[in-house]
Amino acid sequence: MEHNGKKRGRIGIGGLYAYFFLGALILIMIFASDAFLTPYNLYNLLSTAAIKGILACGMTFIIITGGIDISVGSNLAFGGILVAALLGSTNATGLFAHLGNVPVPLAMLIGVLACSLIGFCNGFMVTKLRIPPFIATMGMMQITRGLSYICSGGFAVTFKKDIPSFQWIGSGKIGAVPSIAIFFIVIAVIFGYILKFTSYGRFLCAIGNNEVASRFSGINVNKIKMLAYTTLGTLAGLGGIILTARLNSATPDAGMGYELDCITAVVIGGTSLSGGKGTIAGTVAGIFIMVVLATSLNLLGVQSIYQYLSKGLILLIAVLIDSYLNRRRG
Amino acid sequence: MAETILEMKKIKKHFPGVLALNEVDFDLRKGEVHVLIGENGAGKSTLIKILSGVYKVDGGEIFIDGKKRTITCPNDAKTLGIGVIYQELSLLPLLTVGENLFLGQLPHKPHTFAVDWKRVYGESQQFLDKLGLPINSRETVKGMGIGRQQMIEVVKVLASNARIIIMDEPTSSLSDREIERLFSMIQMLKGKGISIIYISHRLNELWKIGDRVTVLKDGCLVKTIDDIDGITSDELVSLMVGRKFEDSFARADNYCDRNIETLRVENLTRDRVFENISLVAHKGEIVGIAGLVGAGRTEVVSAIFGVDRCDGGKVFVNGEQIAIKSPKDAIKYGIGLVPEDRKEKGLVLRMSVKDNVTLASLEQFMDKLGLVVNFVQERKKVQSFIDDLRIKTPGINQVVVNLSGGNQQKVAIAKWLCSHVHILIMDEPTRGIDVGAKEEVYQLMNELVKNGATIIMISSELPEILRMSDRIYVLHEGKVTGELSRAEATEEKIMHLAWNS
Repeated sequence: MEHNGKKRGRIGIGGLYAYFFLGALILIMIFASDAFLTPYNLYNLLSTAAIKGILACGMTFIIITGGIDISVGSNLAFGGILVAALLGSTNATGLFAHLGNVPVPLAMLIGVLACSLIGFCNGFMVTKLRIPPFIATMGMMQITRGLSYICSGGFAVTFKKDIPSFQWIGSGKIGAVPSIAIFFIVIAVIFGYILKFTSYGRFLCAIGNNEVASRFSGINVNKIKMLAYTTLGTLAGLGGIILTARLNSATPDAGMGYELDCITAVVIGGTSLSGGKGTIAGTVAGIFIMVVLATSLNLLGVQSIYQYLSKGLILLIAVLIDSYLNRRRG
Repeated sequence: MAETILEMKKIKKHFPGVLALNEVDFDLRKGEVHVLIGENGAGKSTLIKILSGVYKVDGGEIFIDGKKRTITCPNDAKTLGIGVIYQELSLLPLLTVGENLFLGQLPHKPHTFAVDWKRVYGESQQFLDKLGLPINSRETVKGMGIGRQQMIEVVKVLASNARIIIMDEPTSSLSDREIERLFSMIQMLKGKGISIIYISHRLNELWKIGDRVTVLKDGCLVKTIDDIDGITSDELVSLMVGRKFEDSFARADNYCDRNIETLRVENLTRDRVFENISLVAHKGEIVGIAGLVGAGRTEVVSAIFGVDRCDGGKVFVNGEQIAIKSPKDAIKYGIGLVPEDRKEKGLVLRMSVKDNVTLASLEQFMDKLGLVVNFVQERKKVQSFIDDLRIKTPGINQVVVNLSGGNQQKVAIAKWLCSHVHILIMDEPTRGIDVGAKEEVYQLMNELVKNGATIIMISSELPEILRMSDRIYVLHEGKVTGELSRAEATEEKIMHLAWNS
């Protein structure tokens, strides 16, 4: 039968298209620009892809359940500012002004937990309070962005002194590979594994396909969904730490538009916006398509203002492919 | 003999890998009810979807009033006077009857963009009155019974000047009283010269309203019978399945062990839905729950299974009082529910046979940490269910939506067998599945009770209740009105209790 799951391959039709497209894009760029294959460019490419990629892994889970989280970018900014303040900073305001000199691991733990809590609140609103995910997380997006501005006084929060162990997280290398690329790979592998091989992954897909039937099968739908939102919160915290470590400061407007890039990458990667199916491998391809495209346009001398156009077009094309495939499946 | 208004000749339709219709001939006369029967997958739906423009025909010709016509889209069908009433009603619940009738063609006041509501409601009311229906055109559809909604659906089709009305299992969700009303409406339509193609899974309806009957099987025309009084239901069944059913209404043995009580429900109440429901079930017993649609049967079992809350009462499993707050709890105590609405509640249609079978019991395939699914074990187990239950599927990874109704139902049942429940609640276990698959479901139920399971079966089909149940509870408007043993139960007794007369 044509719809046999086995024949559709491991990453789904949508994911497969994404890899073809990514391959073609890279091939074209290798010929079009000498600067593309340079170590400097590749390093940049990996680093840029990593943070959004980490978030996109969590976003994939949420979109598979049929939900969405647009608070992820401002959640990341809040996490960054909190950690920077805990580590001792020049200009945090309000409550945050008195923080500082917290050991690095503890600061990171607090930052990640705070962001997880924000994610949990998203999940709570979506499941228990039955607020539509888009609206619930839109509210949370404004709240955390506001908190970031309030706590930082609106300025970048910079460290009083160098903290090498913390900075390594953002700009260290293992061999020739940037540390943050390693984080991304580890997280992508873990999330891919969870989705494909664990009962949690199976339940995510079941809920996205048919929430009622899932409940009738004894699945604790609310718990699974809340965990997905909490997990994305945790990843946003991690992302905030990595970005802060990389830039050596935290800004309240960090992560602006990351939610859109993540969602676009997830959809390009073949995860259906209506939920029920998706893969991490596809999402990874999606992220790289976005990043390679942006880098390529830079290398080709296209002004960055045109990149919005390309992002938008790619998202729409991906959604068109998704809906076309859905329709063909009947 | 009345004139023929529709003729379909040598109709052919291919789907990938299947010949859905193979040179089928069909004709319809003015003012007749032509019943179309056949097992699921026989081609009934395909035939009417071709007529209504949903599918394109691959071969053959369609004549209407003797003229050759091509129908390529639903609008073509509408212009030719063909209207369809599907099983799923298509009315918009928040709008009024009038708005629904005029949907898409609301009249404007001259030279403005404002809708002429006076005309909408005036003309709708006229139409309803002319048909003698006691319905107010200003009433909203939401809150009307399914029976009345269906009548509005018919009116809507008539309002677009349909002369041929196709009804796809119109009685499947109606109560007996509503069915009577629908039938008298059909009689009236016949009187007005309107022709009806009527698809049904209920044979006894055939003699009540049918004029002729056509039997399809595996995409081929078996026979069109002009004299329906000269044929028995046994003969029709054997035409449909191509074999003779011998003694189809016997159930072999009694496996019930009266000494072991597995489920006891005491005074279960849910405000305004049902009250003081008490019932018991034993090991190896099939307990039938009969009653009219809307009597609260589904609601009672939903409450037992933890889907709906209840406002009072106790539930005991194996003599121990338990609290069930969610289906998860129910499954923990060994209760499974095969819901009436298979596609919405019983199965995740877009997932594979394997994923569906193990959905409620995935933990048994976990490694020691309880995290990772052991695919080898899982596959083996699912394959054994496919073999045992004779589920017809190309493979365990086949998406369930592509299976036939009967095989879908088997997957829904396999899910509970896989999670080792010992109390299985089945809500309309054979609804919408073909005759052959029905027999297999019955056999399966027999095997289950033989192995010591308890089955609670809700059914609206009296022969099914009488055939399968060891004991029968009858519900009427949310109350138990009677309990009958297998020996004392008859159709008449059950109907009396169900009507509480």
